[in-house]
Amino acid sequence: MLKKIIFVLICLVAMFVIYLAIEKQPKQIKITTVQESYNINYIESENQELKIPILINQRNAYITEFKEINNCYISDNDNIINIKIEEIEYVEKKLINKEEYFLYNFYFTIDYKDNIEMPKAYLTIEYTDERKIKLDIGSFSLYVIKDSIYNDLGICNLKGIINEIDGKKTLVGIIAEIENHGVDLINIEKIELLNVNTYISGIKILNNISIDSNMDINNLIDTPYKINSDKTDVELEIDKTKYILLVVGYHQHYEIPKLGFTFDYNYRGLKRTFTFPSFTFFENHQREIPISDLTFYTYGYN
Amino acid sequence: MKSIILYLLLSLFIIGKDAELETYSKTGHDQFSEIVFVDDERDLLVDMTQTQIDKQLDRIKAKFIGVTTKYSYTYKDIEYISTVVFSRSNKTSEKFVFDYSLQTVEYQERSLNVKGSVSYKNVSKKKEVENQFAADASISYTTTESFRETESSSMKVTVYPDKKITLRVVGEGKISMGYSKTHFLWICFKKGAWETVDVVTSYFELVEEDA
Repeated sequence: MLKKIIFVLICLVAMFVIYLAIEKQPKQIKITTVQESYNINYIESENQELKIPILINQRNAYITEFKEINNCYISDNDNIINIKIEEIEYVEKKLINKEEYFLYNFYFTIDYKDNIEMPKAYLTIEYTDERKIKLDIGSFSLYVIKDSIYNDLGICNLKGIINEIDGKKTLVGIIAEIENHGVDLINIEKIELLNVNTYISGIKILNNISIDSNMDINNLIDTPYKINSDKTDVELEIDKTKYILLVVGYHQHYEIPKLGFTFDYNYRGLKRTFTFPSFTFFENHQREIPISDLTFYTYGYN
Repeated sequence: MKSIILYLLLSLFIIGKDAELETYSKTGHDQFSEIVFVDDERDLLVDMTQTQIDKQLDRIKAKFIGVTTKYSYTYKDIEYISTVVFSRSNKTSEKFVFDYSLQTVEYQERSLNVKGSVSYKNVSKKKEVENQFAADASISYTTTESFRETESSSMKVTVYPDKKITLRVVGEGKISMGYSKTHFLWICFKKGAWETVDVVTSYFELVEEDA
């Protein structure tokens, strides 16, 4: 009887040791991120903050060792912008294909004072032991905006038309009421959207703006909406007030809830610019990212 | 005589209760000024009478121990109008410019209304609404902050005399409603009706009106 008990105990200890050995085996580091349209518009010359969420398949990997980070930059084939890491914050656990991932927010500051557009942007983080990671983060654009000093043109009503396209909540239109506060006619010569992925693909003058934000845009425009229709040049005359619908086209289809824009206009022969740096048109509280959209990178062992 | 006074004082302690009056809310949820069902017409909890609620609670059978929940409906589509984020009116004769970058929106992604003594922990045993959306082939990116900045960059808005600028939020959500009872040795200790609204999408609207 005693022999049997000893045998069972030995078996249990052996199983426990094997379990510990398997558990302690180093796991390959896998990381991924959701590709986004990262965009910064700013007026002041302060450093701008950028938050990039990164998913890592283990906690306490060297990737998240703040003190080990030597250098960080965002780049494409032609440009490099140095950024400074400020903080790494653990957010929560997520399950991807039944594997645990840990979501971290990496906070950076950018001290770059010029316009830049990177339709395909990569984040590189270099560590003190010469290891580095490079991730495709989507796109990156930055616009330095001059503050409008004139009050002859203004926007008094503003909202978005948001439709679901290919499973993504998409800002397909901007509805605005433009007001001429001056006494003479204003000629709008150009409207630009402040994001590398977006452009104006159509314009329509509306009778009123009593339109729900989730209305199908095809009920408002004459030709069916296409995400990548050709760009349209906008020219408008504003006497007193005008309701307009700007149709938003996309070079790359990202979910862009926040957008700024500029109006170049002519008033009494003077060329001026009205800028709306950023407006949050919508917030998607329950967003789904197909796993097929994610790129997984392996970066050795800890 | 002393014993009578003591009895009266004790009675005051036992029956004395501060008057409670909840802040009026048209929908029963502070952050929504209006809630409309998309597919069918139903009553919000705030519009239901105590008799209607008691009738549903009576249908829940007593059990030895634990919480029993009866779901009236789950995750029905709604559209909502949120309370105003900010509003600035100009009653002067001069226009003024204000910067709304410092304005913040405070709202919860799940709003709860309860009638009765039931507590939320007891009724939230069913899957959270975000899990319902999370299919195997995707990860959900649910924003969990309840206090967020609407804008990170500044926006200057000019408010003209006798005008008012308002930032409003409307949107879509999912509503669930049910009744719960807590029993111990078949005796009911807590009971009540509850309603949850989960915000799915928020649409922001900047509006100029007459002041």
